[in-house]
Amino acid sequence: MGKRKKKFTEGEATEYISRNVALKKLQLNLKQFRTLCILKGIYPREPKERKRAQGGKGGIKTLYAKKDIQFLLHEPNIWKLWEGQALNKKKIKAKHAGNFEHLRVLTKNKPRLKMDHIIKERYPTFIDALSDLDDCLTMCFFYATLPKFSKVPRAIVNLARRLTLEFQHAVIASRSLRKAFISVKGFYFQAEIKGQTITWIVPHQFTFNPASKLEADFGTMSTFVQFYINLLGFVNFKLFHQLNLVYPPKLNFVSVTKTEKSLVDPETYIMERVAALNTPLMRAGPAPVDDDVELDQFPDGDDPEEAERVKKEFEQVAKLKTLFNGLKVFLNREVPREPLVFILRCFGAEVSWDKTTFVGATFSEDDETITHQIVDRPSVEKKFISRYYVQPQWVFDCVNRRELIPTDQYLIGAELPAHLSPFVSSTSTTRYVPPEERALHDPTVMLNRGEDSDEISSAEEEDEDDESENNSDSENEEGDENEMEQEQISHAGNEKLDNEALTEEERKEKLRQEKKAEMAVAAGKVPRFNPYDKFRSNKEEQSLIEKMIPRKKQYLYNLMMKRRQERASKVRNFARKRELIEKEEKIKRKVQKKIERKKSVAAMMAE
Amino acid sequence: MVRASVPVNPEKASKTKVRAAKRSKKAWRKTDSSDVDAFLEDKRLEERLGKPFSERTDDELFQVDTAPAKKSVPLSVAEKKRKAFLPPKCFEILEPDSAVPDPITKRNRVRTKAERQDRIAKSKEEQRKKLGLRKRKEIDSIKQKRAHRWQKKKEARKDLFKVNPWIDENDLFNGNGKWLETDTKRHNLTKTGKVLETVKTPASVQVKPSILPPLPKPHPGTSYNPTLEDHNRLLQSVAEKEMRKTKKEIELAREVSKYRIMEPKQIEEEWMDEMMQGLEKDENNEDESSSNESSELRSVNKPVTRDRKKKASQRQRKKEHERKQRETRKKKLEKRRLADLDRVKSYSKLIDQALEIEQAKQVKLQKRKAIRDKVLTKRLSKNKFVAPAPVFSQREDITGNLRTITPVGNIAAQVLSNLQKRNMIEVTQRQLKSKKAKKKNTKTFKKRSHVLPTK
Repeated sequence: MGKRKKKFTEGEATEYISRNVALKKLQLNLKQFRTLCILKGIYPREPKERKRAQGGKGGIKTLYAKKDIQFLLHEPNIWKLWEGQALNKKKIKAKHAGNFEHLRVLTKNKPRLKMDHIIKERYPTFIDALSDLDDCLTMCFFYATLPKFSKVPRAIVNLARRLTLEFQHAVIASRSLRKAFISVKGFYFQAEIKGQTITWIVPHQFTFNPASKLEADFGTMSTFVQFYINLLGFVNFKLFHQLNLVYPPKLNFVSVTKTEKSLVDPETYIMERVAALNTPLMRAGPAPVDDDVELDQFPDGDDPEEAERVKKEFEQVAKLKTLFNGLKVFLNREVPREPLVFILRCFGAEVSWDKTTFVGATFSEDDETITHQIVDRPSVEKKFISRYYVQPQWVFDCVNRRELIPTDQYLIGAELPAHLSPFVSSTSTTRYVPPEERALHDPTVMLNRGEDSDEISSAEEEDEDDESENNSDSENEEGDENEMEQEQISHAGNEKLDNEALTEEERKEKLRQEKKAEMAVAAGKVPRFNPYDKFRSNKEEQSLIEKMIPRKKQYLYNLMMKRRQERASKVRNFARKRELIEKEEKIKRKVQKKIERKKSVAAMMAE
Repeated sequence: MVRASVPVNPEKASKTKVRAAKRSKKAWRKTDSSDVDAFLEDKRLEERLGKPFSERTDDELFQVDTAPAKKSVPLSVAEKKRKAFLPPKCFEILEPDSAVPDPITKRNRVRTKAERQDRIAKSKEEQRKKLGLRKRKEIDSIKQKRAHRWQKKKEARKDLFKVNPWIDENDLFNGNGKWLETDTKRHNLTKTGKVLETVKTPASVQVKPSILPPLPKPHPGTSYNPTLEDHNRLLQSVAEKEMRKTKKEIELAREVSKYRIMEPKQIEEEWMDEMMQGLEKDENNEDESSSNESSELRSVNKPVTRDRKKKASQRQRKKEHERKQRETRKKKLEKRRLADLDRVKSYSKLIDQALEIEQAKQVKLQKRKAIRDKVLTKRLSKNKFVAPAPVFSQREDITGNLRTITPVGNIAAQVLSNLQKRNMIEVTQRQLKSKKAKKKNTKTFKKRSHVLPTK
């Protein structure tokens, strides 16, 4: 008999390590361990067989891969954490001895964790970092709004604010914003940088209400933010360099008096102007040429429709980048400044605001060259004729539809049309989509509809006008037809006569002609397919396939098909209803027009 | 300004003077000495601030302008800055303006270090400075100051990002370990005999534990100004979720209600009853038991009779029949076995087919499991993941206007719960120490010095 094998000495049991064992191995306390895991991207694991992985123990323990923990042991920052432990002991001692000067020095000398190598480790390429930026940006934008409290150090908040501003500048400079949406949660933005779609939420202004302790664990979040801040910092650095912008951001040209400059701290002065977001930053060199130049054409690609779609999308985006070029926009003081300045500048508008609301205003409200003023109140005392007064939703809807939409629905005090989400996947056929909604995804729909209806109405009116003329025309046509018939009859009679009176030569000639005709090659005709035939054959095939469905699944299949038909019929019904309503309205409009015209004619006569 | 002379109170002046003996304190209380007091007060004021204006000469009060008035020159920037740091004018009144000299004419003053220094030492020091010689202490302090300045500068710039971690993007794996400490490198060298500069990054670090997106797409109904249909759809989905939840709760409650929930007292009584079984009970119970004894004992099973017993011949016949059946069955089996020998080939084929199907099934299952693993939330700790409450706004909260918007939901909580959902952090239960618990854990005692002596 061989030696008895001990249990849990190989296999799954040795792959995992419980959290407590890991703490002992790394000689860290729980808080430090959590911090290290978050920074290094080490996550707890779920084993295949929990009992085996836990060494025969029941219950649920937090398990980590043993190799991950060994990897953590090599992290140089762990030395700093150990130093921190020793420092903590010293601090406690100083505190109880009442040696506050020493305590202050110790607190100041707290070892800082270095993170550049961790970022390189977790994101080997820049693209990797960009693809994982959603959480990072959302958290940083949220932290930038926080007041100082025990779990959220002031330094983190300040840095989050600065870095988010820098990121926004990078997006503005690269014109890479694609979508924007006002939700009740906050403003959703989506940008496309280096082919990566990055989505983030910016909270509404002044929405911070002290969250209850149960709702959010600020300790854990602050650790995440600590890492995210570093990630965002390095991403900003790279982005700025790729865009040939000076980093840290500097302003191109600021008109300031000497005294103003001397009275304010110069760094703060620049930071405030950078935070205004409305002045372009200083460049280190010429602006980089757009890396997405003309698309290549592949005539025999495997999916021409897809290629066409891609091409269309590409053209639309190219147009979108310069959507607000040439607009000069003034923001009223009740409008949320930062998100709107960000969007408007992303598509090339010039923006300013009342100089008492925020520093960095470039032009005042009295400027006559302003094209749009964004207002979010029911009425304004002083209005200029030279500009449109629109509500903020207009900006967002323009971006989502990728065109400048007419302002008439968005004017001051108007009841706004619904603000639709641009994050909905392409229109589904399972439900009725009204043309207004479809227009959001394909702006041409509404335009075509509008033009069509106008054309039709005008054409019909013309028809009515020329009704009398038409009547006379139709009579003429009838006469023509009669003549044609008579000609045909006479032609047939002539042939009979010819056959009787033919000479031999002529007969020969005729034979030759006939033979020649037989030899002749006629131009080929494209065979015409009856679409109905194809439909029928398809249906037959479908029914054959249906017969192959096993009996077990027959019920499910039938149910599915029934539902599908129901949905389709619903869609059809809605469409028909809409059509009827529109027709009625058109008739009404026509009648109205006629009445008006008659009135005007009567008025003319009276004069 | 004219300093006040002796004030004359008209009321008091008109009063007739009380003539009385000024021998006792009581009499003095009756006499009006306010005029004397006022005079003395005036004198004191004069002492503090100088003579009254009425007594001053014209030369003291006025000045003859000999030079033209200076034009007000705008202050220079430096001047402005200097003035900005001066205490404000409004506080001047708080400063002392006494003309009273120090009553102690020869006040003892501690002389400064320089004043106290010996004449010879002073000259030596001066000479040393002239020659540019420095003491060790001075050199150290200069060094320290420089270091401090440098440190401050560094700290101020610490939050600036000056490194590009992606400088060499081709160097994906080699560069990431070059940060090892020199101690570690030395250790590696002595233990392994190799210069190990890298630690291999486990693949899991770059692979996310879930393929779910970090930010789920916003529901169109969460727009600040949604269409009626979108908002209805959102509300409906929220309501459905809530209904499912309540249904589960009701089901659970129903199941639980099937079991008796006993109070401790009840449990004790029952236990007592159980333990008392077979022992003598109260008199009342005895009566009952005696009445029970008197009744007949009855069996539960039916009584067995001999009526339906089989005869020996019948049993014999049955046995024979069974034996015959067994034999035929055996023969049949034997026959089939022989026949099967011929069909070995076809059978092996069938087995192969079955195996193939089974394998395909396994592959499919594994694929599905791999996807599930990447989507589902795993159990990483004792606590189960609970999806956060859906974010939506009530119909009355929707104003269709950005200015009057009512924001809903906590973004941070949403991000955090999403991290939990994507298996990136374990679900934890917050340990909130209530005030009561805190009090319970801390020992309180009075300081010796504060304890009152008890007799």
